[in-house]
Amino acid sequence: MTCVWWPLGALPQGTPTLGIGGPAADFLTTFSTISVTGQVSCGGVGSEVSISCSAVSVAAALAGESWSASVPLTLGANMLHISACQNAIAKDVFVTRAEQVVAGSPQKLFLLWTPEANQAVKQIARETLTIKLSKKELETFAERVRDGVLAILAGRFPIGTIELVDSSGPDVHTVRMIGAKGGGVFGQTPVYDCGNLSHEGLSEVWVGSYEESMRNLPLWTPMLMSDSVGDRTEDISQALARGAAHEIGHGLGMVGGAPSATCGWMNGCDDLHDCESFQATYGSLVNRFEKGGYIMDPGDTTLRPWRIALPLGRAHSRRPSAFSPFDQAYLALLAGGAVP
Amino acid sequence: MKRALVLLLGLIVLVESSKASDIEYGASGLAGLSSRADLVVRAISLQKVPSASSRFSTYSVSVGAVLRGVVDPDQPLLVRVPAGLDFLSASLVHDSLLFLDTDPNDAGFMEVSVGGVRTSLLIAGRLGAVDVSSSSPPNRESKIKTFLSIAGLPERLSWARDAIGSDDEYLERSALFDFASPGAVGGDVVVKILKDAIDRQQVAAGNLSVVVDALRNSGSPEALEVLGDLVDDAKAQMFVKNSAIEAMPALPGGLEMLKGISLGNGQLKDRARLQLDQMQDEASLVFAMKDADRLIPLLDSPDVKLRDDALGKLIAGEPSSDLVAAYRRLLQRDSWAGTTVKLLIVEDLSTFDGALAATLLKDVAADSDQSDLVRRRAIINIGKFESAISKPILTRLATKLEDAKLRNLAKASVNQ
Repeated sequence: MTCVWWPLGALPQGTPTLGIGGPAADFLTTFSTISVTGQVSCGGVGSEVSISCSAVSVAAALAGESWSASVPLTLGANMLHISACQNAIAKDVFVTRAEQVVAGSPQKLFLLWTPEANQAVKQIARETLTIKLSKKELETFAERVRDGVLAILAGRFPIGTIELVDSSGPDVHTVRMIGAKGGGVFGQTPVYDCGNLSHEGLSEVWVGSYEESMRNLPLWTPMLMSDSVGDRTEDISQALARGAAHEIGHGLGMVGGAPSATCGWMNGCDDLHDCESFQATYGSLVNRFEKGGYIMDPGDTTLRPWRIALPLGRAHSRRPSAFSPFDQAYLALLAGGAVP
Repeated sequence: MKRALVLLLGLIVLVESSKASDIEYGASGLAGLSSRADLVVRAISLQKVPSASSRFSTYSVSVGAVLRGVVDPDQPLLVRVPAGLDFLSASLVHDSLLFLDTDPNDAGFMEVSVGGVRTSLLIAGRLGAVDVSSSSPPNRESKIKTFLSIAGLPERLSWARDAIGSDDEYLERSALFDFASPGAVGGDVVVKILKDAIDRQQVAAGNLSVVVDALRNSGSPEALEVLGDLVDDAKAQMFVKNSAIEAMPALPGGLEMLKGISLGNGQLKDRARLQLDQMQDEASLVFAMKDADRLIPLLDSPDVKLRDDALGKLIAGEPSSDLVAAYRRLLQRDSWAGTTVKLLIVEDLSTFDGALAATLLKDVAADSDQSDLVRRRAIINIGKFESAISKPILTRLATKLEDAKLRNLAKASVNQ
């Protein structure tokens, strides 16, 4: 990306103001040009607005205080530098032009529960609750967690981007909920698929690792041994649904960036995750990392309360992780919801 | 310049295909690795072993030294790495310390051995291979050896004091993770170590957010002061300042500090206000009712994109009786909504107050045209209402539902 940084000139008389109506911050598109609009007031001097990026500068058309321009985009990252009133005021907008994204249809998802995963869920109930559940109650507990995971998972994706189905198939991404544990690994997706070119995919959630970790309950504050069965059902459902959504995200191509061979325009890092250093560098221009507040944040820096949707503590209502706005835009593109 | 560098890095193309995974907080730090490893070796080199599994890669390790545990000299040391955390290339991994679990519980793995030789699991995948080659920072290996031999808290704090602010960002991050994990060492001593490091601007920029985690974890009033310093520090990155804002309420006196920032004129006042709003459980995406009036009719639009967008916004917005009525239409048999959308609606209804939403959930639970999953979630979500509303509804369902499993679920939900 090459961008022109215009020096600020002498301030004109009055207070210039520059508003940007669109695009929204950190906008994602597949189109080669973008419409940029807004309002300007130059406080007594002649109004003018120009937008520069990639060594191209475009003068905006003015109609009263409104302005608009069509700006060409290069593939990948584009920093639009919008300056007005003879450079007395300027704002930046980060826009990404996506590559290798073919608009498709909602991704079908199937969650396959193994008996070992069910056992691990029951074991969590045994180990993390003072109240002791009967064998039958543990069965009910596990069944409720399975239902909860599906219901919560559906809500983690933008509407219209996924469809839950009852079996595997050639166009289905299957998430195997398995009893595996070890190494601090909560899940994996062996094939990362930039642009979701293959709708058939496979991910794993290692339910056993959650059980292994939750044995040390203080790590999972605000979870307490004295919690109700209903609380724990929701805790585990939230954690496993978040883990499943994270792995599915990888299977759908998030978050491209070094060292991936493709989708580098996503500017992910840390093994295909939302990138803390990218967020730190671009500050208020992007919003792509929140220590677990976003589903594709790297696990190593995801604070555990985010996994159970209680970052503010048990006294507050659940606040589940979400896909970052940029990742949501990518999911919408995959499902055919491109916005010019 | 730095901006350009980050973007260039984002565009680097490597031939190797990429994999992905999810690991636990701090799992790549020394404390995370050491606590899970019963074998730590210095690997001279790794060689990939053919394996039928697509879920794991297996490597034969040439061992230079054993730092912890025992290696059988008559058997090759085989190491298993989850495919999602595999090395980009085994040739890149030489002169590394490997943190291994020789006896992982293999429920669900089914691939314990390769060629009759039992394999060990590399902790945290390739993050469990720590570079100690000549290109790594000076004395890293000896410092890690010291860490592995530490038995008491004073030595651990002393080790951390040396690591934080050192030239080795990995060791610094490890020490910070050690402080940041709930239940780990905390308190005023840790806060002093962190404060000194911040004051001297010794902490690597990439590790500052873990400092915030550690300060939050300390529970100390002094930590609040350090968070305040970070917020006021003109050189601190905005992301770190935002993290500090989010951490404040967890500390004694933090709420008051947050309120002070929200009432001021600083650049973080909006962030502080948002945080306070969230603490009051107010939705961060609330929109005005006029928007709901505009959006509800769009739920009947033939344009799939339009109605999906409208539903997404309505779910993120405020409850209303009009919305309950709209949801009722969508939950009917002849509506366009499939199981996935119906599940979303049933989940959203559980966040509403009042009998109207609970009654709709009751009707869904009693509707044999709905899928079992949707009916079960409806019953469970009725249980989330206050008992004055939920109990009579669930009691009635527990006797009236035809399906015995659903009846039992309603009965069990009454009692919780």
